[in-house]
Amino acid sequence: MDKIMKKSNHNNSEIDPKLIEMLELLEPTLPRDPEDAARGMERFLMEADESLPTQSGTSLPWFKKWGKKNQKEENDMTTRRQIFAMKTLAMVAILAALVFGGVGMTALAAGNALPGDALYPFKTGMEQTRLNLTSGAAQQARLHLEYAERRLDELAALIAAGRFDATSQAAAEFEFHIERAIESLSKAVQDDPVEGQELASQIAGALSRYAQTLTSLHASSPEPARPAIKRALQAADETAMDDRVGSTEIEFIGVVEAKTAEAWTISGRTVVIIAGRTQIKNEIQVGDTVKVHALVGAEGRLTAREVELARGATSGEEIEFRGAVESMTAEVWSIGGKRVVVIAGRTEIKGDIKVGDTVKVHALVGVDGKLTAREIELISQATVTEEIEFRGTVDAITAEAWTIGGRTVAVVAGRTQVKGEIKIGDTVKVHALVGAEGRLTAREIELISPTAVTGEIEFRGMVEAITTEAWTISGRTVSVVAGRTEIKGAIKVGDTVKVHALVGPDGRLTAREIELITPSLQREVEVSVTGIVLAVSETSLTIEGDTFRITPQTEIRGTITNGAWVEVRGVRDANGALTATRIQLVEIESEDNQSEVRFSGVVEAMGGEAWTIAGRKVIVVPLVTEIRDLIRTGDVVKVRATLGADGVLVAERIELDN
Amino acid sequence: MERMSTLALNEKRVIDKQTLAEIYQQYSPGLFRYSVRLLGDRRLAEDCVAETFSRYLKTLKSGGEPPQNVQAYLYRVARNWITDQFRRQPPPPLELKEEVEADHLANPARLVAKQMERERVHRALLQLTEEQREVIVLRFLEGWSHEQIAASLEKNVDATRAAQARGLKSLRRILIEPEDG
Repeated sequence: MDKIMKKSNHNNSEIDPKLIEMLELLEPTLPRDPEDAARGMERFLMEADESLPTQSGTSLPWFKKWGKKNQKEENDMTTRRQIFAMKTLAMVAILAALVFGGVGMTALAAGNALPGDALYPFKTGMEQTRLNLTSGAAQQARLHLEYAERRLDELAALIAAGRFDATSQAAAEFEFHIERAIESLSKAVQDDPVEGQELASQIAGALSRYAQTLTSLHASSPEPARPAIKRALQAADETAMDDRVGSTEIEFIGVVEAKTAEAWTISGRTVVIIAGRTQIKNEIQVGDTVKVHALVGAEGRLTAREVELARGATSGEEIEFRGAVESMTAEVWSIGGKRVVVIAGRTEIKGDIKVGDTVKVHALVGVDGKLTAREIELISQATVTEEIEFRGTVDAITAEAWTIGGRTVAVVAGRTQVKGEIKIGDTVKVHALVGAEGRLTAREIELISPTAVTGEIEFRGMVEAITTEAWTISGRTVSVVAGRTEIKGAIKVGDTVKVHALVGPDGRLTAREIELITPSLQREVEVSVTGIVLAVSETSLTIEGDTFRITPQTEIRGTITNGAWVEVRGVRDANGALTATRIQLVEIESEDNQSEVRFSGVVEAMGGEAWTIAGRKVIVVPLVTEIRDLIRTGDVVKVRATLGADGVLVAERIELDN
Repeated sequence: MERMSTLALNEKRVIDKQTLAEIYQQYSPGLFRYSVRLLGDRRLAEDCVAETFSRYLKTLKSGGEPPQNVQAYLYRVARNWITDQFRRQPPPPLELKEEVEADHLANPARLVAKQMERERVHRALLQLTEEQREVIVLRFLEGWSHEQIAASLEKNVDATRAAQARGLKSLRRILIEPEDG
């Protein structure tokens, strides 16, 4: 009511507030479809193209007048700009005629325009129009993302064409659109927190994707193009740090293994550092154990918000142990079942050590239990043995073979002794026989420690691969265990999901729950419509003007007939096609499954038992329906009716509405 | 709202494509809202907007002076189109969809009741004279001033004030008095 009052600035006493309340019912209108709006403008401009430029000499006198006036005032800068505008317009028409064999195709031609092209302002103008015509902050945010992506494509195209001078414009507009996306996001969150959250996650995903694109573009581009790319990359990274973006924050402790100005490697994870945005609390050197607060982008990209020395991280505690070297990478060795971080310049390696050798290790124990080697000394070189012993985490269990610490070990009934109740994720000690070609057959597998869960993290990401044992979600491998992992929703590759995962002592993730957040790339939008069935067949259902496809996967609850009142849930794909996922008869909540409705309207048709009043079919039953006046077609009547569970209206009383 | 007409038409006297695009951007959302409110149908409303702008182009093309007050002109054309539409066929029932989308968890019976109440107000509005209806819609739903309305209706301000008073009185009689009595 306030809105109407404000709009009209009307004297309150003059208008019945009840009337205002009623008029307010009309205030929300059906929203305009932005696609329709954009098409409408396109059509209008095409029509203008067809009539205006060709007519400029003859049929538009005011146009001619302006031309003459213009000749007299050649020094007027405003007028010069107008000449330029007219020339551009003429050029556009000619260009379109040449390229497409007809005028009126400006919009199409402009679609491929790049910054600096004559048609480019038209392209961005169309975008702006679409934005203006789009209602809903979430939808606007998505459009801004779409346009930001276009700017990136343009940036790449400009670089490919060697047009470096225009790259800064593309970068600036890229920055503009992602900033606006965040602004719209803030509004969207207020409008609808749930959608806002999904949107935030989409934006995080998009930003991380942009950052990846820009990083590789930066690497492959010549020097003159780089400042613009760097600016865009910085904008993407900084926006990703925005609190409003749907990043999940994680905290972890790890050893700094490498440092560059842009990114640090901390215990195997790459963490992006942004000058001015990442708070680095102490003087940190490679080898230090640090605590990191980082934002997880939807693609698993980590951006550090804060890095500090982990207090008492190493606390001087040092252990010494012996073991066989099971694997060696540049950063991590596996020795006697333990992972030991090896840092060039800080770990002293004594002797020429190979996999299989037995070594003595002096290692610092981190607060997270992580071992950083101070010294590794060769004790004895590997000898060819019949039997080896190693420790590892059980990655997979099948009837014939187990995967333990990345190795496949054959398990043979009657020959392999399994000690303890072992499940995936547990740490075990294995005695195995080495066969031909290094094939291992377990003699004994002994439980050392059950999965030591060190924490649980939550993150969002896109599903990249699905196998029976593990899923890849935004670059992270997450073990999926039947009976232990709850999968919510029909998830397929490409979907965005939320993962609750347990972090094992070795950083391995085991999913506790994977929940579908958004189907792939939001190409499909969930819809829910309640209404009366206008037509139904085995393959389709029409309700309130929308036709849904029915597939064998569609869940149908109840018997659906024409005229039934149903709730349909489904998805709208990129082409606007609707597919029903669930169709359910709506129960009308009242004592006898009927609810009373009253309305007024014009009698449009009176045929036997079915009348049409105000566009609605109303059943008129002798003895049930009380008809108070002599009623004719065209009369305005008041109707009291009952709405049955089947959506049919049965009139109880019809009277003239005087 | 007045900025465009003054700037584009009175001072510059130039209508290039950019100006046309701006005119469309500025007025088409309001025109759509206005038409869909009266027509109750999105497709018809889009048709109305398209026809209105097409007529505007034809006026420019015909060689006459471009309309001085674009807003008043466009709404006048749209209004005529809607009146013709009503003559051809009576107003269809309002779409139910928006309400349902807005709150699909609510009891459908309540939604139906609200929708019907809305329809009742809509129909009451249609029972007013064309002039009264225009004034009520533009004033209370579009937030126009009496001066703007007068320009669009090609009447004077006193006439639109009178139409407003008469329109509100009729609405009260149609909508409220039967309930009270």
